Amino acid sequence: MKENGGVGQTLDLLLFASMVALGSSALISMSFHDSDWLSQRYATSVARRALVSLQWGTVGEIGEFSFHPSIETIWKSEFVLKRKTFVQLIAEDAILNPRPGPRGNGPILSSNPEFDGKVRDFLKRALDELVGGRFGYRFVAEIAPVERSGEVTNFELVVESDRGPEKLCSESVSWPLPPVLTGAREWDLKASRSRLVLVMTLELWSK
Amino acid sequence: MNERGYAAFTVVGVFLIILTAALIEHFSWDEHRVKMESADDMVESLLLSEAGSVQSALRQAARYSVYDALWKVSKNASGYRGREDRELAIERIASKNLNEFLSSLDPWNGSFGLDVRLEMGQESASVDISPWENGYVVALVSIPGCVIEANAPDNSLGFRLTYENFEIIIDSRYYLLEDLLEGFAGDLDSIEDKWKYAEYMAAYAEALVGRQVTLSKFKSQALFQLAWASQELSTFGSSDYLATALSLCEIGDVQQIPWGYSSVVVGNPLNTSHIGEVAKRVEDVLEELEGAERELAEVQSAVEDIVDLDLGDLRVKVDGGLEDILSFVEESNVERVRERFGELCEDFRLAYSTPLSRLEGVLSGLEGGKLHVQRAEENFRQVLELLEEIASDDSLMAQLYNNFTSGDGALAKQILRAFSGVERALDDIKFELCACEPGLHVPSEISSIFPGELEKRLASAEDNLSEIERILGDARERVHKAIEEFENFIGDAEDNFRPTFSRVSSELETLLERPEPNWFETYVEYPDPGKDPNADPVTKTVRGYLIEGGEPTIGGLKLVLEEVLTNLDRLEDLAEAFDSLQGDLTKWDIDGDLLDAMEQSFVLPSTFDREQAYELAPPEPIRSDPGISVFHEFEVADIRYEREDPVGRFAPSLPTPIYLWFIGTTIYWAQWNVTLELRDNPLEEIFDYENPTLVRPMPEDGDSPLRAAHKPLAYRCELPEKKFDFRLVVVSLSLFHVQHG
Repeated sequence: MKENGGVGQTLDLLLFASMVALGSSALISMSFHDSDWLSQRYATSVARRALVSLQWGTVGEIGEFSFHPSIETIWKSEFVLKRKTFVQLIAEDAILNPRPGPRGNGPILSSNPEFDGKVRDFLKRALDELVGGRFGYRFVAEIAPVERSGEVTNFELVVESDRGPEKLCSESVSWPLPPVLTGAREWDLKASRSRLVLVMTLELWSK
Repeated sequence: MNERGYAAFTVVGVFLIILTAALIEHFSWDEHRVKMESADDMVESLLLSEAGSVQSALRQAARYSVYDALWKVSKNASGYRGREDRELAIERIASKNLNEFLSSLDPWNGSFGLDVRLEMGQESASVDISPWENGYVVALVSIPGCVIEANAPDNSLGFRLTYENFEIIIDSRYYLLEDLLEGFAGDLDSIEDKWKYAEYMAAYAEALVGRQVTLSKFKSQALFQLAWASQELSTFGSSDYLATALSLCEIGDVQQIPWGYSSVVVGNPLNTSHIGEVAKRVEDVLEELEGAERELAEVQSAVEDIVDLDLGDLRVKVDGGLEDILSFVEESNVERVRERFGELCEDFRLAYSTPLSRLEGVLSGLEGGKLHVQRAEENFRQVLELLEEIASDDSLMAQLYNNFTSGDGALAKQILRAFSGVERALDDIKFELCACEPGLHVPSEISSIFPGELEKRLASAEDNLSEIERILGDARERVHKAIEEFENFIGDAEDNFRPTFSRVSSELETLLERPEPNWFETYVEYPDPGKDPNADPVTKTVRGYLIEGGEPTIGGLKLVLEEVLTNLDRLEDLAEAFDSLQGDLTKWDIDGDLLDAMEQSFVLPSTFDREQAYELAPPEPIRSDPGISVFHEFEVADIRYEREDPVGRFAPSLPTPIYLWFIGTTIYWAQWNVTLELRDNPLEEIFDYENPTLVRPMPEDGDSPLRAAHKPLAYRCELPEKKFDFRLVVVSLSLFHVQHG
């Protein structure tokens, strides 16, 4: 009887231990749920805020945006922009430096390559400040190709940082360009009565 | 549970499992709830950011609409009737642009399945602009019925945002440009004034230094360009220095223009205040000479009377006096006797001293006259000192001083020698008269006859009437003898001194006499400045008095100084006439920064004309405040110099002389009406260099390699004035020639 009692107690203890282990593992698995979902959600929120900042923030908040005029002169002439928003700069860069060609892949018809370079540098500075501290990023601003007299014109501006393997989010915003801004012949859509839309996409990646 | 009350571990474990399952269920439900809420938040935030994008797009569309309108209107600013017209046109074009944009948006959907709609009413959008700080523009945009409606795809979340009215600040200083250019266009007279001043500077520098005035169209054109650039600089803080430098290349280095030449001379060649001051001093000299004249005229009449005594009066007084005394004796009025006797004695003493006291009076008058002459000389020396002082900063007055004083025969030296001569003559007269003095003392032999010791005797007689009567008896005998003796004395003195006195009188008369002119000159007098230059010149003869030709006299001095004064008055009148002919001169100096800016070398890009190049790359303003670049375009069609002084009309290389004989000076003057005409109305355009905010497409039909370019707002105006003119009057005291270069 004593021997039978000892075996029973041992089985009881073993059953109890296995039940505690089961409950604990179930609780532990609950406590580590969905951390990816949280970081994606945070990244989305940051990306969205960054896009809003690009639309409403002015270049003066980052620093002085200076560039030389579109033509070379011997006399001194330097332009400084202070009150333009970043999106304005991107839109104006698109108007100044379109890329026409049979499939929109010709050489950039640059009216002011310095302006294009400065816009990219300035955007990089802005994005480094807005999102670069926590995330890797890839920012793309593009205008859908426009066909006119058999020639296709497009515009693409990419600004990116070093980034890790995991893409956390991708947020976009569309920004229709006013017709008064698109008078240059490559972008002139009056004949087609359609309009140009600048689409800006910000992807945030893990670092 | 056993008999000892212990439960099995398995039972406890079952409870734990049940508890764990409950907890898991609770956490699962909670996580689901959080995720659901978070999704809602995400949708809400997405909707808000989409709505924000729409707002941003609307604002930017309105901004570019206003940019475009500002450009179109301000590039043709003079095509509108006024500020209001321009403002209305800007609002109309901006509204049209905005409505075009809005019509292309309807309906505009967002990008990610979220339904973002833009609702608009039937009414068109409108834009009102008004000035903001520092000449910027604030636009009030009104889109009636504009509502941004955003809904989640499952309609779980949505909102409507009314966005009918909003304000945007346009970063182009349209109102500043308008104010500045209107100010410039309204003050074109200042350009004319500056050009005039520069021409005066150049002409006077040439006339006074080189004795030759060169009229050159190149030079006038360059000075006009400089005046224009200077006015631009003072209005806009910059100028079209590149255009100015280009035009100046035609005449060479601008540094050759004599900036900094004495503006006192240029502004007021015959300084009326200086001339007036000199004339006032000459009047002081004349006043003293008139004082001397008065004194010496009195002396002249007195000198003849020194010994011209009529003793009849004395006799009558003596007879009357003796009778009175006798009647007092009869009345035994001793007191009255003594009194009347004393009076009689006094009459005699007075008569005896008359010749001497008259001589003293004459000498004193002579001294007074000389004092006036000395003061006149002193005043004249002050005139010369004043002229010398003025001459130090007034080159024309320096010339006058030089004419007046240089050379041995100079008028000033003649006058000074004449003063010395007059003073010497007066000293000689005084000497002659003083020599007469001893001979005019009445000898004691005569005065001892009467009154002699009789006065003392009468005093000691006291009340002794018989003694008094004896004394009176003696007196009656002596008085007539004394008169007789005195008469003889006077007669002798007259015989002795009359020739001297007559000579002195005649010398004084000569000193005071106004001499006859002793020289004359025949000359041609031309119409004065301001008079009809076509009037015939008149041949005239001037007569004057030359001191060196005669004796130095007060009359001569007076005559010469009156002639000098006449010429000074004429000089003053001429100065006023020249002043009124030339009008006001506004002094200005060419700005050093402007000169530095003009020294830049430059070439224009071959693809563009100058205006296009400025639009695309306006030159840096000379001053950073207000930061405006300037362009101008005008072509000088003709510059004319119409000669207006009488001689210049038939002898273009010579000035017209005005002779001022009495101050040994000739004024030479030449006068032109200078007119500059531009081929077309001048074009003035200013750029808001500080705000290159406009992106303008380049024209498709052009050869431009550019598709679009940033430009600052330009304000372009055709100015109303094509003709600029002024009167150039050059006045010099030295002969100069006129040359056309």
